[in-house]
Amino acid sequence: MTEGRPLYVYGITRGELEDAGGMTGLDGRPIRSVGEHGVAAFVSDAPPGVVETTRDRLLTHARVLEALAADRTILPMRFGVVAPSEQVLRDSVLAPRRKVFAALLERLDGTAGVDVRILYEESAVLREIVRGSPSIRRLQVSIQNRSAGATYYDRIRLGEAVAEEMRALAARDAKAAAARLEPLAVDVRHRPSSHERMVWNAAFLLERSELERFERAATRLADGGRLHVRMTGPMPPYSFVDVEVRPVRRRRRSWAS
Amino acid sequence: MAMAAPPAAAMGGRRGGGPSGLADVLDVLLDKGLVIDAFVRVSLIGIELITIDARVVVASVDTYLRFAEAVNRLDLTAVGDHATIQDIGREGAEQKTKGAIEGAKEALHVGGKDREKEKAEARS
Repeated sequence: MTEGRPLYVYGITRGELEDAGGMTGLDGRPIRSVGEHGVAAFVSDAPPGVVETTRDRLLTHARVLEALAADRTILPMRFGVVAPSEQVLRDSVLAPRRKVFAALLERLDGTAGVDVRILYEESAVLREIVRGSPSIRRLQVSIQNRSAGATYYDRIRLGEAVAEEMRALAARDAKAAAARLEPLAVDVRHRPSSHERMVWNAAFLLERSELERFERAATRLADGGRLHVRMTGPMPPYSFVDVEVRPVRRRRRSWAS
Repeated sequence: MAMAAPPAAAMGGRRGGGPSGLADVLDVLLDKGLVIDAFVRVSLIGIELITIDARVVVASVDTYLRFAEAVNRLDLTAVGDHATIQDIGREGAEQKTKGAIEGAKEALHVGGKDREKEKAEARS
């Protein structure tokens, strides 16, 4: 009955008929599982048309996966994955790609994702930079006694020199942070900096049993007040399912025979 | 059904404040996670309003000018270079005082932004 309708996909796990615990998904639609050959996708009917990205929908996606990941290993989908129909999901994805999913699931058993973003505390790092660089200090002093209009290019030079020093410092601090945190992790993905004062942006895959130790180690990086450490997690391992899955366009009969 | 663990809390001081550090997670949802080719059907209109970690272009003139301004607002006594302060003289000293206050405001502003974020999370 529901086979012709597009389905919004939240994640993929082991099993056939998995209990979604009465949860609702995007736009309040009930979540159910579609199982095939020992792998199951959690889905709900998709919102009609192109899925517009709203804050509500993003939060729902995140919460559903967080809840699902609490008591099982799951491969979290990126936001916005819609299968054209249940039939296509079963025949073109779940059945033919079950080995890829099984291998990923096995790798992720007992783990959780934690993102770490480390930023400089601005006044602390600027003091450090000014203190450490006579040329920056000279430039700064020369600017302070002149009008804003007269110092435009000098201020750009000053800021550029500061930014350059900050990058050099950040490279060292990121290395130090990596040396402390990476040994505690199963895997790590470095992500691009998303802020001018960002020292390090990394996604970690951790054994659940290591979560507390990791949190303590990461928190200690902020000792001394130079760094802000922002941790997000434990969360589904979004950053560790970086595999491209292509639907297989074959009829059921051909692979079953 | 297996025992449900409590909903994941964000680490680092936000424990109990919401389901997770969602502001940070949102960024990840749009960029990471398993993708099935040809199955993605999503409109990214309005994303600017949703992602909170604005992608700041690091090497921009605006950034340089802002850094220069921030450096000039620093309280130089904390840098420990008294000779420089004497050189700057009276006018510089006034600027220095103003700078310290502005610096404090900026620090508050940064904290305020985080609080805004948490409020946004609590509301949702």
